[in-house]
Order: sequence, then C-alpha cells, then structure tokens
Amino acid sequence: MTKKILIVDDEVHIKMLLEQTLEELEDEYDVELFTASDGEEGLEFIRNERPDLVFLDIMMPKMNGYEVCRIVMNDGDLGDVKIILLTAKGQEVDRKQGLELGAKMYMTKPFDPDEILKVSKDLLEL
Amino acid sequence: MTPLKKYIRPGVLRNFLRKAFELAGGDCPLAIGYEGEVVVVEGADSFGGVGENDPVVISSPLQFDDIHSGLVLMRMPTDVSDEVRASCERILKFTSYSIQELIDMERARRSIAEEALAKYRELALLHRSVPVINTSLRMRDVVGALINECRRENYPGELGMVFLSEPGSNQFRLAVQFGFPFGSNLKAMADSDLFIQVAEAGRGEIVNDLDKDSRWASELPGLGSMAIIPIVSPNRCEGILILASENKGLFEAAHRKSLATLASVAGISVSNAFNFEGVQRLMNAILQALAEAIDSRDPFTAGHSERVAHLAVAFAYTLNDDSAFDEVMFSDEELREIYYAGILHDVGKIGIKEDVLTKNSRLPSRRLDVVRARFQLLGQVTDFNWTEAFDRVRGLNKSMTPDKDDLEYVKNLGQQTWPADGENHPLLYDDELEVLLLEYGNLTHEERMEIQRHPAESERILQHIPMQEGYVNMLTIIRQHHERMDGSGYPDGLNAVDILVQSRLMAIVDIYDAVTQERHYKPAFTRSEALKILKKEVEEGKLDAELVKFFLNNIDKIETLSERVKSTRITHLSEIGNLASL
Repeated sequence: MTKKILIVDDEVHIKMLLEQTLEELEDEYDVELFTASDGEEGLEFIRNERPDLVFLDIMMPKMNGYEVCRIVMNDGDLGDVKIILLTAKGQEVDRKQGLELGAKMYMTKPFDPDEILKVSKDLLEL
Repeated sequence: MTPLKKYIRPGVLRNFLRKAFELAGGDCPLAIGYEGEVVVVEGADSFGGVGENDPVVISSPLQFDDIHSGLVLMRMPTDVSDEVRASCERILKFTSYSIQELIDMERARRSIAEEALAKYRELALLHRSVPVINTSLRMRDVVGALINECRRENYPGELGMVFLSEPGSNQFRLAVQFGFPFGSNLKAMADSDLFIQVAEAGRGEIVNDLDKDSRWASELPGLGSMAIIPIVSPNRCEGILILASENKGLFEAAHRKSLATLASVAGISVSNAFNFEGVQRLMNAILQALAEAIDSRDPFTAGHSERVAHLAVAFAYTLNDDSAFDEVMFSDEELREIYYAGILHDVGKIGIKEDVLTKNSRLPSRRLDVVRARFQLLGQVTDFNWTEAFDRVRGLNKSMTPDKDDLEYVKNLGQQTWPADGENHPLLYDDELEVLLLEYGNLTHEERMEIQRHPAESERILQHIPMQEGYVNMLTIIRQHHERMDGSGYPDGLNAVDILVQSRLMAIVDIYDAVTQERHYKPAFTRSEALKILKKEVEEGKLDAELVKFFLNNIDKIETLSERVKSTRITHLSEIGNLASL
C-alpha cells in the first residue's frame, strides 16, 4: 500500500528542501508526498488522510507543532501516525517536551538530508 | 520516461484545469496530455483519446523540457457556435500559457533546490565527519577514520587507499588500504604520473577511464576508474586519498567535491598528527640527549638509561600479554610513561658529586700515594716492613668484599704512629681508616647518602618539564626506582604496598642492566650470573618475587622485545609484539 508522508512547515524553503529530499524515496518506493503550510491545514490532512509519517515544524502560525502533535497523539484513531518534530529550536527542554508528547524524533534544522532519508526509511519500514 | 510529477505536481494542474473549466462555463472538460497520453482530466470522468483530428477538441502545446512535451486539451460541445469556440480558444491559450510559466518556474525552483540540497549534504557531511576524523592525534586513527568515512558514505569504488608524505619528504608511503588482495604492490601507485601530478597540483581528479589517460601506465593492473584526491593542509600536501574500481565510469563531479571536503578535514588532522609525532620525537630526542649526557659522565654507565627504558617497556609489554598477571594491564600511554621513566631515572646523578659517582676504590689514587710516602718514611726510621704493609692496604683499597684478616691487619696499622719533630702522627688518619675498613664496597656512609640523593634529585629536576601526555606516575616511578620491598630502599624507605608495580619492574631491570654491564669495580656478569643475583635479592626480600620470577622465565622474550623498542617509534610502543609493524 502506498505510504503517505506529510510535510507541515510554514517556511517555504524548508518545505521545498524537504520535498526535494524525500522525493528520492518516492522514486524508489511506493511513497507519496504531501505538504501543508500551517498547523491547522496539517491537522486536517492528518485526520482525513492518515499519513504514515509526518514531518512537523514547531513554530507555525495558527496552530503550533506541539499542539498538533498533542491532538494527534491523544486521538485514538490516529495512533499509527508517526511524527517527527523538525525545529530551529534546539534546547534540551524543547527536545524533551517533543518526545514526551509522543513524537518519534526531534530533529533540528538545518537538517541532514541523509539522516532524513534514513529515519524515514526506518520509520516506514522500507 | 520521467513521470509527469517530476515536472509539476498533478494536483496543481488539476486546480488550474478546474478554474479554466469554470471559466469556460462548465461544459468544456479540460485535460493534460503528456507524451501522447491523457493524464489529468477535469470536468468529466474521462476525456477520451487525444484525438488531434477531432473537430471539437482544441489543444495548445506544453514543453516540459528539451525532450518531454505535452498538450492542454479542451473538448467543446458538438454544436459549438463560433463565438463560444473563440472564447474557448482564448481560455485555452491563457491556461496553457500560465501552465507553461508554472512548469518553467518549477524547473528553476527544482534546480535551485537540488543545488541547495547538495550544499546541505556537503554541510551535513562536514558536520558528521569533522568530529569523527578530528578525534585523535594518532596518525593511524586519523587515516582509519578517513577511510571509514569514505566507505560509510557509499562512494563508488570497491578499492581504496591513503598515502602519506612525512613532513620534509616528498616521498609518499601507503598508510592504509582496503579491497586490494594481500601482496599487491600498491607502492607502484605513487610512481604514476597521475599520482605525481595530483600531488603537485594539489587538486583532486576523477578519471573514469584509466586506459584512456596518458598519465596512467597501468601501474596497478586491472583498475578501470579512480578518484584521486590530495589530502592538503594549509602548508603542504600531506597525503593522497584514492578510491578506485575495476569498473569504468563510476565517479561523478559531486564525488570529487565531497571527497575533497572530507580530505580537507583530514588534511588538518593529518598535519596535526604529523606535528604531534614530530613534537614527541623531538621531546624524545631531547630527553634521550639528557640521559646520555648523564650516562657519559661515567664511561661505564654509557647507554644504561636507554637500555633500562627498553627493557622496562619490554617487561611491561610482556606482562600485558600474560594471563597470570591479569590485574596488570598497561595502556599505550602507560607504556610510554614507563619508557620515559626509564630514560630519565638517573638524571638526578647530574647533581651528585662526580668523585663519589665515579669512585672505583676506597681511597683515591692520589691519597694512596700520600699513604705510600708515609709508610716509606716510617720504614726508613724504623724496621717497619712498609712494602708488605702497603701492598695489603693497596689490595684492600680495590676490594669490594675484603677478608676479615685484611681488615684486622689494616685496623692494627691504624694504631701505629710515625714520629716527626718529637710529635707522633698516625700512620693512617681517621678518615682514611673509615673508608679502608668498610666491610663492603667503597663508599662511606656520607658518600652513600650523596649517591642516594639521585632518585629524589631526578624528580626535582624533571618536575618542571611539561610532558605532553599526563604521565601522572612518571615522577613517582623515577623517585621509587631504588625503593625495596622490605623497606630497605631509598630515598623514602617505602614498604611494598606503597611501591608502584612500574617502580618494582624498573628496579629489576635497573639491577639486571647494571650487573650485566661492566663497571669500574667489576667485570660484566653473564646473564645467568645476573639472574642469580636477582634471585638472591628476592630471597633477601628486596625485589618483588612474582615479578622477578616472571622476568627470569621470560628473559629471552624480554631481551628480544627490548631490541625492538629501540627501533620503534615512541607512539607505537604497543606494537612491538606485532611482527607486521616491523
């Protein structure tokens, strides 16, 4: 079955680079990429489409990443959605908060494309 | 065929077509044709064939790139009026113009993104590899980390090697390789014009068909392609990194770039490692010169410090290897510490009075001449048999362990006097008697105290030398090298529990070397005599019984290894047992 990856980030260039990176997975595996530009849009997509993996920025307008993460993790129907928090913040407390909310990983920008690919493959079991 | 989504996301096209469909009044379905097939449709469930000859279908071309083209298609109602047809054509034209602009912009965006991503990757590579390559000052670790990174990053090439060039040399020697069969003559690589040119120009190259490169004369047979990258530091070309394959055409410009990035990181580390080794060599040479200067004050002790250092390291190394001494395991750093302690253990002798240090008889020869004159004088005024008496004194003077008779005889001589101007003068003065009547050796108590200052003196002199590595025990080992297990040693009279293992083994090899070498007061003993002496010291409780037993059992190995220490770099002491390192 096609695995869906969602990228949620309000920063256009980050979204673009992530897309560009993850397209390498699309070429090789049965994977489809989607994007959203803020928390609300992201949450709506997650509820409707149940992506397998979500790259979620933290600092976003309308609804921040922590909030989205919290809602998704507390929704029993969405238990299979795996979330990777992606942020320019890198404080230990931020990381801890992210992981406590149930995110699988907490990655800091600038991200390492190869790490993104590796982590995605691991989490999607590709 | 490249899928359409590589040029533009179908969702975007769909949105566009929907808007155009609405604009056209809602009864003209639109579609995108890509390489002769309809791939996106809006306004109807299906569009039907591309049908160029269908009178109610109008189209406008799209160009995705130099190769791939497509169409925007629009199906009009069958009974279309001219007015509607004209309006549809305008809408189609505008739609295809906009989509074409989007495709072009998307193409530009993609190439920028690819470029940015490549930079991201390079940056990430640096972030990952810098800490890995920069963790050690040991050359072996540095080149090992470099070659591991090369393999980890999945570069093409099933073969790899790193050549290094020592500072001050323009020769390159192989430091590490992977993939080549055992026994390959890899040195030939460094003789190739290609290698020489890259080293001189300091610029890396990829060669995807070595057969066609005039600078390559198949120095290593069977190679098809190669990436050859100089490892440069700000000063010089420190080495060359090579990835190679038997296949042709594997390498790309991006590989050269990122390998060059890795190599430049390694260049700094290699340069540091060379410097570190250089400083260690210099340090070693200076300390050795110091030791030699001390040893050469006395021709009989020449080379002693160095031999003790070699023996001590060999001893410690052999202990590491032995399962009976499981609790003893010296690290590389500790082996170096033992080496330096050995080299420097007698440095304090520089502060010891030379006449005491080199004393080879009880009375110095000049003093003996005066005694002789005195005896002669007494012989002239009395019937004193001065020649016999003087011979006995002269004999005793050179003796290490004199007969009781001789001592008694000289003691009696000391009672005699000789007259001059009505006064009686002693035939032998008190200070002369003190040294002549010694039961062992030729040193008086004061002289012994003077000699025994040397371990603490060594420590005092050396305490200000900032050794690169910590060597926390070095001064202690030096201070303790004359301590004995029963507390009879000096300078502190320590008991066994307070004497470091290193000090104990230093004491053993110090005695062993002193005994097997010639001294002014004795000839060189054979090895078996030396071992007997060590056993005796154990019986008297002075030396560590276990260690001496081990030393005796392994003396051949220790002697052989100590020869190897001589020809091994100080940074590679842990490799003396490894034949491959020779």
